[in-house]
Amino acid sequence: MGLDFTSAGRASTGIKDALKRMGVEAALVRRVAVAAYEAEMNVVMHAWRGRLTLRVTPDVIVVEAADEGPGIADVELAMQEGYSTATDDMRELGFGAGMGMSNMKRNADDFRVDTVVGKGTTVHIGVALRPGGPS
Amino acid sequence: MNDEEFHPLTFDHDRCIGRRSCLRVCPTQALRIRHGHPELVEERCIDCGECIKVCERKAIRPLTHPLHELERWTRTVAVPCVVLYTQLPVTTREMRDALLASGFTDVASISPACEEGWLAIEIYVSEHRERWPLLASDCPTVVRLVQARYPSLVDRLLPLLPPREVAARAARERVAAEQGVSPSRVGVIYVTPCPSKMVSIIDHPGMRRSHLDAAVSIADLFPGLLSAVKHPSARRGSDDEAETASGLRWAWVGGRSSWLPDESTLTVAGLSNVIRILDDVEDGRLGDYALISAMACVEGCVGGPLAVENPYVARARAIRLTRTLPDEGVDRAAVAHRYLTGEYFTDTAIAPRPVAPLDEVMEGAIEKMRQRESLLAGLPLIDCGACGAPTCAAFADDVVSGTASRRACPFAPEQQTEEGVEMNLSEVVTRLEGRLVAGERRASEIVRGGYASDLLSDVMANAREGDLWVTLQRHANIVAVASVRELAAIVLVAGREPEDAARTRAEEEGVPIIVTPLSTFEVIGRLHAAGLRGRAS
Repeated sequence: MGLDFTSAGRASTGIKDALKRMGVEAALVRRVAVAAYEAEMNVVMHAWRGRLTLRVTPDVIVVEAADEGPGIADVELAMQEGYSTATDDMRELGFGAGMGMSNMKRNADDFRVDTVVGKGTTVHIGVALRPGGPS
Repeated sequence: MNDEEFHPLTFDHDRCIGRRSCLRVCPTQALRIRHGHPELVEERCIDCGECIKVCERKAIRPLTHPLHELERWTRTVAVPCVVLYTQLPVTTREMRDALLASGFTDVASISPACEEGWLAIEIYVSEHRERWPLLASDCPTVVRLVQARYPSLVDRLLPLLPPREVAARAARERVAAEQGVSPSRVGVIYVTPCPSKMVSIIDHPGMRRSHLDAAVSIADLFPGLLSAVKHPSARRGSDDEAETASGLRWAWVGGRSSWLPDESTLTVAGLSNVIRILDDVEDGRLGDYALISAMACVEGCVGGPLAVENPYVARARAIRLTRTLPDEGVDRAAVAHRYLTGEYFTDTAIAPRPVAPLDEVMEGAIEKMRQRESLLAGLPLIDCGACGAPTCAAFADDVVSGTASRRACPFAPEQQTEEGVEMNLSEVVTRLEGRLVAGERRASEIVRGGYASDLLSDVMANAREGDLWVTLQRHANIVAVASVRELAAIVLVAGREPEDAARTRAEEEGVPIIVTPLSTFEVIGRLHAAGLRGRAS
């Protein structure tokens, strides 16, 4: 799905629909939605191809965005608000504010980035379900 | 609340010829075809009226109040939606006279309420920047959509009265005072281009009680209005004619929906478009807009299912009418003062009304979602509608929710593949004259094939995911094997019951165990005859 902007956002919509159908509380769905959308857009903008996977257990919702792409040379720098490598074309579309990675982290209870320069990146976003299950 | 939902439509089965266009057009997949005719899944319906519009047979009828009900009150005040003025090539004054000739004793104007409401929106929006984008709440269908599908966005819906409610309250006060009757003897009737107003009158989100008493359809009134316009008579009732060009602009998409500057409002119309915009808002986008003005009908209210005139002609006429009316009439200072007294606010916040989830507990919901995905993987995904559901995904959802049978799909269930058929566990239980002694909640689990062996390591090596495992072993380790190999179920032959430890563990891990009185030979013979196959080797 790299650089295909026409269907960007579709994967996160699918993730949201599944979570709502399973009765996950609205506030949690929203957190996952925001993080998943940012992850999806990063794949669309920077990678060659990628896959978003949703895994749900009674305790945790995990969204994993794994891509084949350029990788991130300096993860710490990428996590800083305002840092972006988006091109001018992307900025014209309103992307590239440099908030994506920090936005994912803010909405996740568990956030990990595994990346190999020249190969790709896997972003792991975990959101804890409240004990007792859905509201 | 969900048990007694009101939806403003009825089905006329005698007129229905089963074309299924309603099934496909429904934006929330709230229709199913059963026995050849549409049925409503009530919790999913948001009262948009798309099915009413699409049915050429007129087999889906909108429900509004019949005209004879107007006789219930001493005075009946019409509060016409501005769309009414666009339905005939006449002036606003002539249309109001026609209303007075059609059974109403009084007519009220909605433009002042529009202008007041828009000022309230402007103030509220500027005071609540942290919740941008806020969502306009004048279209009842959009409100219902947000309640059902975007529960996390309900707090962005404006907690303000829509213009029709503000107008209705003012109309009742005016007519009661002018005519010297009790407010309760005054019927305040909305003349509506869409049936969704019926729902907001019966149960207005965020209000204890609507200020409107009833809604009559423009289409129902139309013949009477037409003849009254052709044969005008002396006007008989009271009228506060105060429509303005600004008010008229409310009738169409992009006309006007608040006093906010155009560049701070995102206007969207048509439910599929509205859904995409709301998805974006849910993903944390569009916060640079103060207000999203969303309308269910593609053309705006002129495109309502109960409007008679072509929506584009109606809009063109509205534009002409604006030239004949004063631009605006609101006293901004007075409204700003009234805003502070709280009179434009709803009584309470609007609550979400989400569709019931697949299961009450998370474990069950996860399991059903898994079954749904596995069923969906075997469906043709052509959304043919033959099963009665609008899409293959909706069908899979129905099957795991227990409201549809797999057999309803002519393609998927038990479809003959190279590897044989698939069947679900309950069918296996029936064929084996057995019973499910553990893992009951997976009774609709799909079985793809079978393997028989009493050597655990053989099963570990050779059974496939989704296989039924036929064995006489009954100790706890069989559960571990079935769990690791992701087998569909264990069949214990010759009436052998699982040991207690096995039963406990099976419940814990959600592994179904079937106990059958039949022998291994008989079990395999029956399942093979029914089409279930082992791995080709």
